[in-house]
Amino acid sequence: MKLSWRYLLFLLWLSYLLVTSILLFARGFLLNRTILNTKSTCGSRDHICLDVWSSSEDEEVLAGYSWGDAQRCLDSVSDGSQYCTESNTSVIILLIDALRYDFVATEIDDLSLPYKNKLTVIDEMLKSNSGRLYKFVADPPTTTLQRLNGLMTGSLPTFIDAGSNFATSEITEDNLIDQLVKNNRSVVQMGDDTWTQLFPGRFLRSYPFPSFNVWDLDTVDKGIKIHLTPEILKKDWDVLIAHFLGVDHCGHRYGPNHPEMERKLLEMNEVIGNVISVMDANSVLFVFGDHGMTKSGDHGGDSDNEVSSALFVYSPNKTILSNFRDVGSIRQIDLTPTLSALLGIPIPFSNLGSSIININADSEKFISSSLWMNVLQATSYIKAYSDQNTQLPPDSLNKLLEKFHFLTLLIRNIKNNNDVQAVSVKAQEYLKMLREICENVWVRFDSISMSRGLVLLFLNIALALIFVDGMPSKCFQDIIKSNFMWYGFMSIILSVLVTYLLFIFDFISNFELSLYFITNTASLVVFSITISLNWVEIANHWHLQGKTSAWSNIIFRVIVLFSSFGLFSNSYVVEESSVVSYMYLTSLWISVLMMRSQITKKINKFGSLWTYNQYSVRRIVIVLAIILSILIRISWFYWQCREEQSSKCIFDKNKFDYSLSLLSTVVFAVFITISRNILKNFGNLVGFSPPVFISRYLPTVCVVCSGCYWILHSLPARMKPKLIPWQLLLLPRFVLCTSVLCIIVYFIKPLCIYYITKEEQRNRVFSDSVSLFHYLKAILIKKSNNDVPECPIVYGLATAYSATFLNIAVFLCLISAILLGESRALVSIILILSLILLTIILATVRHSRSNSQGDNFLVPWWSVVCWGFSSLYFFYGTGHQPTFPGIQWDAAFLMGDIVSTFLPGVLVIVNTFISQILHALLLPLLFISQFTLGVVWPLATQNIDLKKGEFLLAKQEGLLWKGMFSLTARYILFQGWRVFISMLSASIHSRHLMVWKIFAPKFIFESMAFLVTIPFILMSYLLVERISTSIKSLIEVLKS
Amino acid sequence: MALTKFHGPTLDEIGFFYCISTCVVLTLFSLVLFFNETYLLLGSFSIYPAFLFLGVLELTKWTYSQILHQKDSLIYRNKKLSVILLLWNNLKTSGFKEFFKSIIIVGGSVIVYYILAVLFGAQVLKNFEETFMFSMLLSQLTIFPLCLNVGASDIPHLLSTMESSNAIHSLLIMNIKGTLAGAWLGAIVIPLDWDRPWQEWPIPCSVGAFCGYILSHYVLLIQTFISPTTKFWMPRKKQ
Repeated sequence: MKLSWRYLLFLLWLSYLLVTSILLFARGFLLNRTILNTKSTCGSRDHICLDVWSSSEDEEVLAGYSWGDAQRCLDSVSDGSQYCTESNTSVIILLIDALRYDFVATEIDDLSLPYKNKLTVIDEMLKSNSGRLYKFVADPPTTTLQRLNGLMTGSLPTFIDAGSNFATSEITEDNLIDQLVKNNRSVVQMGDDTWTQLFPGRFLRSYPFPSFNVWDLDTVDKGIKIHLTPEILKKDWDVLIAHFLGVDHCGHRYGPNHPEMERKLLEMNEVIGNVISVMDANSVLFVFGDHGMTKSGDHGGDSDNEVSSALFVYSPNKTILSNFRDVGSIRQIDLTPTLSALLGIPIPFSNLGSSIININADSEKFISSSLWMNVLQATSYIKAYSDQNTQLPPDSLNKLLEKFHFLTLLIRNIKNNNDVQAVSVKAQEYLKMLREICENVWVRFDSISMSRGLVLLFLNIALALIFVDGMPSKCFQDIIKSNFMWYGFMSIILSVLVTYLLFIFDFISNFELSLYFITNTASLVVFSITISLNWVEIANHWHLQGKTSAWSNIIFRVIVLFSSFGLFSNSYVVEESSVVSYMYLTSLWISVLMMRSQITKKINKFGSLWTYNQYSVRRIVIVLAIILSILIRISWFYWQCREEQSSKCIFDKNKFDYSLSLLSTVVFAVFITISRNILKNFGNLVGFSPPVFISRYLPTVCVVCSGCYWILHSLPARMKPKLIPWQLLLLPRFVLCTSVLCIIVYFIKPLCIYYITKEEQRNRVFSDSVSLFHYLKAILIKKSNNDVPECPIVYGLATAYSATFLNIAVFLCLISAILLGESRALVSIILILSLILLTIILATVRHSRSNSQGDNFLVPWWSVVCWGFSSLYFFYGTGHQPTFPGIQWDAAFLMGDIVSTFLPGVLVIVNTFISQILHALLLPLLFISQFTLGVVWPLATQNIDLKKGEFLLAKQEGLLWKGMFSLTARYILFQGWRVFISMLSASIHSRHLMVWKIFAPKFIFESMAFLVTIPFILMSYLLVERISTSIKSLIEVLKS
Repeated sequence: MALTKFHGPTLDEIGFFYCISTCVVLTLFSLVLFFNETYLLLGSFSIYPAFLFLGVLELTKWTYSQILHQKDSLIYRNKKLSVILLLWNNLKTSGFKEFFKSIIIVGGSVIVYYILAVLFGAQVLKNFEETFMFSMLLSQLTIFPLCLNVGASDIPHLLSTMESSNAIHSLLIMNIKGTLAGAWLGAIVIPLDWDRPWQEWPIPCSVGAFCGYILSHYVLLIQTFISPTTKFWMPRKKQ
């Protein structure tokens, strides 16, 4: 087996270990709620614990009422049976997505804001006392899917469910829609198509409209408006749901402070007015939002603005309306039992909300009232839940049952209406307590998995560090060449088998987690055995390293430690964008300073003439570093703000207008031209082989397309209707597909090289001027060195590696520009430019510090750290934040309204981690640039002869793969270390106030970034492998 | 007058004096700043008396070093107002050109520090006063002493090589490094959400620079005591 593949296998192994230990931790940290499949049913009056009160007048029985009665009562309803009342009420639900409370609430003072006081119908109804307005508090995560789930089931979706937003799937838990269908009621739904995904086949009629295109403010709302009034007039339904998305999309696109918001809200106002005018006397209208929005119009987190939306209830029938309790603020899940009570269907089994219907009844009626049903249902749910698993702490469970017992005693003693009111207050308190217990439990962690994940990740990183860094390179090469790898993979296969056997014989319950744990342990054993066998060499090597270690190494270690310990502090995580930028600049400038300290020694050695040259090189490097710093500072402009930084950080979505898209088009054109000129200068744009052809023509085509798209797309809204959206979208789709295809082509045929063999030179037929030109050029070159025997001429061999990477960088830049949208397109140019500058600076500094040619083949830690900081920084630089509202969903709909959620999901992930992807794919540049510099800028390479450029790489294979491996492994370890620290901070802060807002999202984003980095970094390694093999085969061809 | 060409015990002595005077005076000064909470004004123009004080202190040290340096040369021994004459003479010999050059260098360094602060994350123009005062402080602590003791024409060389040829130079380089490292470290507290008045830009960085400056002098002082070669505080043997 080839050496390069052995190294690749080792990298694969290492990444598998790191990834699985992260997954192991994640499984423990992001716990799921167990879903119970029990459904509520309509039972007889026996099932409401009537017997308990059969002789309520009898004082003696009262005294004899025992704990067992409450238990018996609960047992009788444990199958979910409830008593259902008759009802002929019908319900109209107008769900206005992201309707924040202050959009509805009237305030006189702030008329200037576009979202204030626009829903005048609601205001009128409230004034004429024919409606009720509530503050409607949602539970985080405030994403539409989770909210719909919560509204219909009445339960609290846990944090992990937020991740499944893309895999929208049917709700299997007991819910309102299922109950309605089961009790022969019919539901009509229109609007957001998430409903049909959640409840396929449940609706009498359904008018779904695509919800994914967040830039489309009107399609869904217009569709609903067409169908709404006719449907209301049909009257063959019991529940009608209309889900408007315009307000939400307006928030995502423009934010709440925009004239468009005013237009959408006025439109909603009109819709509500229409509905009120056509609805019949026996129906109730609910208007509410599923969540609010932040100041920038996004949602997903748990800030006040996001969770507070509004609920407005209206009915022409005053008696129905008077039943609604008049409280200021209710929980969103309280709507579930309320609707059940109104419609006379059983409350969904896993509901935790409490009904807001008033109780006006005596004791006999009370026990058949919705509130008592609610209490019974919630208590039986929590009993069933605690029977299933041990998540609920027994003491709080006992306390709850005691309360329930107390409540039953109170109900027995109801004498008059005052007592009823008192009891209903108590019952509500009880339900609240129950909900809080559940809330506490569902953010509870599996500490065993967590600690295993932490320990394994740490050990993996530490042992891998010894392998990569601690071993002398010769020793490591021997190990790689030996059977070590086979032992390793054998151990993994063996442990998989063992785990499987254990699983079959029921020794372990969770196959996945045990698999992770056992394979990790087995590999660690193999690692540590190998290390202990080679301990003498390692210790010696460390000893030598410790002697020669420079101050710069210590400084870089301090910087890395500083930056990673920042993850423990919530304010550092919040402000991480500036912190990372600070660290990046510091490490950059320290690298630049490191150059000087070495050069002074050179001056002493080589005398004054040399001094002059070196000074000029250093001056240029300093200028480059200044340019790089300025580029980074400019990219601050593109940062997004977190909810937590609101006071200091101002980010306006509407600050970009279409002059910017013009500018980015021009900049892109210039960038492409320059990159093509560079390629031309080094002979990588000669001939017509597929990769050359691609790099010659396609970037221009792509830039034209994307430029057209940006300009057309950013035109003012009033000019929009003339453009057909799907045709407009063809442009970015074309760019995306072409770029991805081109990158694939570079993997298949990586060389941008043109060559003329000896025979071709002799018998040439000049068919065109180009080949004549090439021939003349070849002759000239031959003339200039006459003594050299006739040899083949190859164009661009000295920059064979970097040319391919430059081409790939151009296409990646296009992809990222398209995905980031026209407002942030420029930042992708900044990214690529800063990466190129960084490689030049680092390569020059390394040259000035290298003592032998062997040094060129090893990328030192400080270069890797600079690169890593750059990747961390540009996550923020491209306008991202490690929060869920901060995700740029716009990217998802670039591929259109495709039903599958896979492609949009991939696009959003690529958009979010574009910086990490670019840095991972271009990582080999750090290694290659050392040799490119010998051709591009010979002055900077000192006295070491690198005139052959990157051809040296292909010649010295052993060094090449060792160097590539250590670079890749170091980068992986650097990123893995970050993940480890974020894991540690998430587990230390697992009871912190901010855990779900700051630390858990940070961990999720860090580990996602790591998971995304791994495949791309392996791909970049593969690309280098491809280039080397192609060069080798080329040499074979030329030799023959 | 630049003290570049001289070596030997006198320079060590001057360095020792430098360290010890800075340590004593600036420690007291910083205590005063701390206890009457003047340090909270580090970002506003109203702190200029402190800057003046720092300048005067630096000048005094320099003057003393000049006297110490030339006290054996016997020229001014018996004249009154010898100090002023000495200074005047120095200015005359090294030329006004040098003087103006120094002013330009100090001014330029303020701009460079301002740009650096902006690159590292300060607002471009919004907090002009704060950033300007911060860069003023840095150049006063690092470049101003250099101008006095090295001479304007030799500064670029010293800065680009960072190699010390004598005790004073190594002291100055150490002091630059300490000041910059202090300013860098000071930024650590800025992101924290404690809402304290001293977290405002540029107070932590200025305080850090100040502390770094003093600490580097302490370190040098300790080094001088530990080092076996410098025994100048012992009574000199008469030859």
